[in-house]
Amino acid sequence: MRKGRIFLVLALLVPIIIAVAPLTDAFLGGAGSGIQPYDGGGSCHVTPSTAIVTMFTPSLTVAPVESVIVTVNVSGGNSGPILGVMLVSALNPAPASIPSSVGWTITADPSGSGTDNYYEISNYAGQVSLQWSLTAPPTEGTFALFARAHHGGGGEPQFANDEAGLSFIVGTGGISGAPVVSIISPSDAESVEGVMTVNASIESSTPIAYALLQIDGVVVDNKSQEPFRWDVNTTEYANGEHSLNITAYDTNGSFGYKEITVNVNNPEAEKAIPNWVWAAVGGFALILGIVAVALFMRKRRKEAGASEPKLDLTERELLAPLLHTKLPGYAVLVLSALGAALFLAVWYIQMTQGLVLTGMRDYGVPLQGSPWGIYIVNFIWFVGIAHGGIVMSAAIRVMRLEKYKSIARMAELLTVVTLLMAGLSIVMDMGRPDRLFEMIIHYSERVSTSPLVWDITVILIYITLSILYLYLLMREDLAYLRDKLPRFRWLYSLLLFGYRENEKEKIDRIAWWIALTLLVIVFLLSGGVIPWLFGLIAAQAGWFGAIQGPMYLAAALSSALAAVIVMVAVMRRAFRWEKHIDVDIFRGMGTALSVLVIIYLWFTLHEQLTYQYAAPTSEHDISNALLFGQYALFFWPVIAMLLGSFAYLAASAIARKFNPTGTVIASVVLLLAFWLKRFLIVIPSLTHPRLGLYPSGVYFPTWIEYSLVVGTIAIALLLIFLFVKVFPIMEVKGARRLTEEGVGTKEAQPSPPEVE
Amino acid sequence: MGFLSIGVVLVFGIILAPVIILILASIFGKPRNLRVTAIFLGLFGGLILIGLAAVWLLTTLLSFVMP
Amino acid sequence: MVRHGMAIDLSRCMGCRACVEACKVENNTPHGVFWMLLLRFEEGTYPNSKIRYISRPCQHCDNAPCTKVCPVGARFKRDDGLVLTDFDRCIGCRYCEVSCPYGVNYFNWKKPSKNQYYDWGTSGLPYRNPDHNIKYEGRLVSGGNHYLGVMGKCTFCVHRLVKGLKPACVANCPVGVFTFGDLDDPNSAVSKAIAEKEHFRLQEELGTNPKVYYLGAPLDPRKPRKPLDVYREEVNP
Repeated sequence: MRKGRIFLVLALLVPIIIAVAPLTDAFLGGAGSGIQPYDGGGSCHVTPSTAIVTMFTPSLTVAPVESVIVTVNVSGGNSGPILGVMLVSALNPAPASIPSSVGWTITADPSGSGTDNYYEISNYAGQVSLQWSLTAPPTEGTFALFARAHHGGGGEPQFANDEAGLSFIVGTGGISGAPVVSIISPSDAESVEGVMTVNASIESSTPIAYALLQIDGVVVDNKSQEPFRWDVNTTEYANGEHSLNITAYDTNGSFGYKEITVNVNNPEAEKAIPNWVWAAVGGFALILGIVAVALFMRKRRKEAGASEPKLDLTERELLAPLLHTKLPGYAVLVLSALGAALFLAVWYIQMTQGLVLTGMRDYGVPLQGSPWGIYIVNFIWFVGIAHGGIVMSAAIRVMRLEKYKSIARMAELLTVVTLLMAGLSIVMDMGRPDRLFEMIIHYSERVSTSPLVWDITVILIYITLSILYLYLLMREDLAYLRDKLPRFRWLYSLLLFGYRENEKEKIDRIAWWIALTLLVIVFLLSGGVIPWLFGLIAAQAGWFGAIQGPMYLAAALSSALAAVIVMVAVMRRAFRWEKHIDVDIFRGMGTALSVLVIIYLWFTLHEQLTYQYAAPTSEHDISNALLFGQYALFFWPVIAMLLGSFAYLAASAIARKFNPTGTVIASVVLLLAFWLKRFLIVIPSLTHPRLGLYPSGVYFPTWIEYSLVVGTIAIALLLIFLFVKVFPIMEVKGARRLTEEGVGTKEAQPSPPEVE
Repeated sequence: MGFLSIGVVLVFGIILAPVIILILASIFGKPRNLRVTAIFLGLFGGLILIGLAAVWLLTTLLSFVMP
Repeated sequence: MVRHGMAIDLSRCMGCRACVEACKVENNTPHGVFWMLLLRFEEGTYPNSKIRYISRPCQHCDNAPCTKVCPVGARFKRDDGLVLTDFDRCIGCRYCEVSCPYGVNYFNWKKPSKNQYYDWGTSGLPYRNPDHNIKYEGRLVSGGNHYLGVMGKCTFCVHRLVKGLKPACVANCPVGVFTFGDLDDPNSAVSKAIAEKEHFRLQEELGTNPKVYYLGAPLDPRKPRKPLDVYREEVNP
């Protein structure tokens, strides 16, 4: 039985083997693919065929050991499905040579799993494309590769050659496989000027991803396809030697480069005159024009001086600025006009180049800056000062403190001008001031939630009512002076539309109501929308909180009184109004100021105590920075200035003898201290982000910011100057009545005093 | 309640209240002088409009300056 | 209505910054502007310290302070939950930046075309994304390369969302840190991720209701944290 079973197995296996085996490689004729390199020469008896063999490769110029891809296409031929294709390094004379004998290394053959120069297919149907990967020989020279196809079998195999083959030039340079860059123009060390054309030729077996043009190590441009030609404007570079480098990257990531030097030799160009020069020239011309006109008008006035007899002594004293301008006045005009011109020029530069010219930057990572800076500080400061007018108006009308009547108009002028400057401070802080009107277009939509919009609303109402207050109360004087100052008759008449003598009573009544309204709005402005801009922002530790409201109010009223004191003192001295402005008002204002300053210091104590005791880290860090850290050298001198001024003013209030000069100096110190204190409110919070994962930041204003801030002060001075020269800043009709009733000033010497 | 947001109540209720009172006082307060009232109210509205027009003019001019 | 949100798995993040780079290339943001940012910090004190990474896109808060304070309505919240900036309307007042507790806002201090990392010359950015020229729902809200003097921030790649793609950071993270989707859909990947894992949000106590959820244990307030990125990048005029 054993023998029978063996026979059965064999009987089954043999047919299976015979049936299946031909499907494997084992029975293929010839030398067989992948068994050994085949040189195709020698003993086989071959005849030419009609097949056509062609070869392709991306680049014939290769570096040593660079990878090369050779594609062999065979088409045509009239014999069977078996085709053998081989790469050889020589066709004639026989024997052909295998490529490795001359230095080629085959890294992949068409089978995908071998490295042979011979490959055979058994399903040739008239067209085939086969690909070999090789690395070039390691030595320089010319190396040819040919392709040869054998087909047919049995007794009459046929062959076809690609007789031309591929002639590879193996050259120097570059990392194997990397692109080879050569710079056609300019040549090394060539002298160039004007626009130079940089032309490169790049050889690469792998497609080029991109080529970089670098000058002095800085990438100037890139190109990702032919032609690799750039036009470079050499006038952008200083005369002298510069390095020029072209680096090409292929899609494998390998790169090759060529570096040369060029000598830039441009004739010294005429520098274009920068814009600021034009602005300064324009500013100067403007000032010269104003001065010339003023001098001319002065001459005319002197000639017509005799024809202005109708003013009595008191009036001439009160109208001093309208009648004469002396050297200090012209100096104020010229300096403030220069400041205004500076403002316009610098603002133009900032608008065209961007706020990058300031020291402001984004907070957090990576810029670690402060997005708001001294423009916002300036804004708050000006708004604070702008309360001066209403403080005086409220004192005079609502509280009936008549002794401040003489300075009422001065204070109101201060309000109007500084409010305008506050608005200007905001506009100069905006990134796109050309879109300011959008705030008005979308007002109804945004008023529900945006503190900035509330701010605009209140400021607009405040400035309108202040202008109206100033204007309505000035009508009486304008009517009185209309005939006495023929120079201004046309202007005054224009402004006096609808004037009747009997309007005074109603105007006074309306003025009373305006004063009351403004008094309420003070609390809603400086104790309201302005602090709410900051106090409602939970994101900023150090801002968020309820103390901001009362604190800002105290600061604003203090600044306001200090500014009024300074303004009145300067004008009183400049125009010799000692007889018309009682020195006692300084005492009254100084006393009120001392109370406000100590209230402000008391609120500061509240604030810092709260942030020091057991506050969240974010608040504590800011307080530490103010009291002991980054800002300490700034904070304590400011507190000292505030305390010192308070001490002086308080002492002055209770002293027996009163010296107004000290009060004025204390007021100047306070104005400066409050500007600095506003800085210490705005910036430390922004440079110490609440999110503890951010580092703290730094902020230093630049000259652009200082210029614009100084510019706003200059414009304010200019506007005050112009008003004072055109309108009576001191009440004339009212003063006249005082003298008639025997109250007020004494007559001085008979001859007109030497007024300014 | 949607219309009566924080801002609306604040601005039109609290901030503008004294202004409304002012306007009413200027009309009805003694002594009655309608000419002065008209000048006042006309200037009030006029100044606000001039202010808005000035803002519009400024932004238009600035749009030529900004890049 | 869709409410887009994001979940960030802190246990997976390895600090490679592919998200930062993808955002920058996708949104064409200029020098110093990082709408997606990676915060690196050291937690704890040596020898018990480790480096941690938190990626920080805009949180697209549901109660965003930035949309409240914008005086012109350039910063607004869309119905699908995205907080976007209308670059045609922004006046550059920077109030949104000041009111944002997360520091996600980046201002164009310099003209964007002059503020790139290379001088690309007159041909401009080679990787300029044409999607940014399109106005979505009538407003110009995508892309960081438009105007001087306006604010910008992460938009959750609004220009990709309309095409059904995920934001660039989400699409490019090699380790799958980000999950993005509809928070209102309980079956979305992001809702599930948040429901399954312990999570926290940044500065929740400020009431902003941010929509970026960080998967992992909340930051332990007892551990000191020191930011490692204290080098200040210079953007010069």
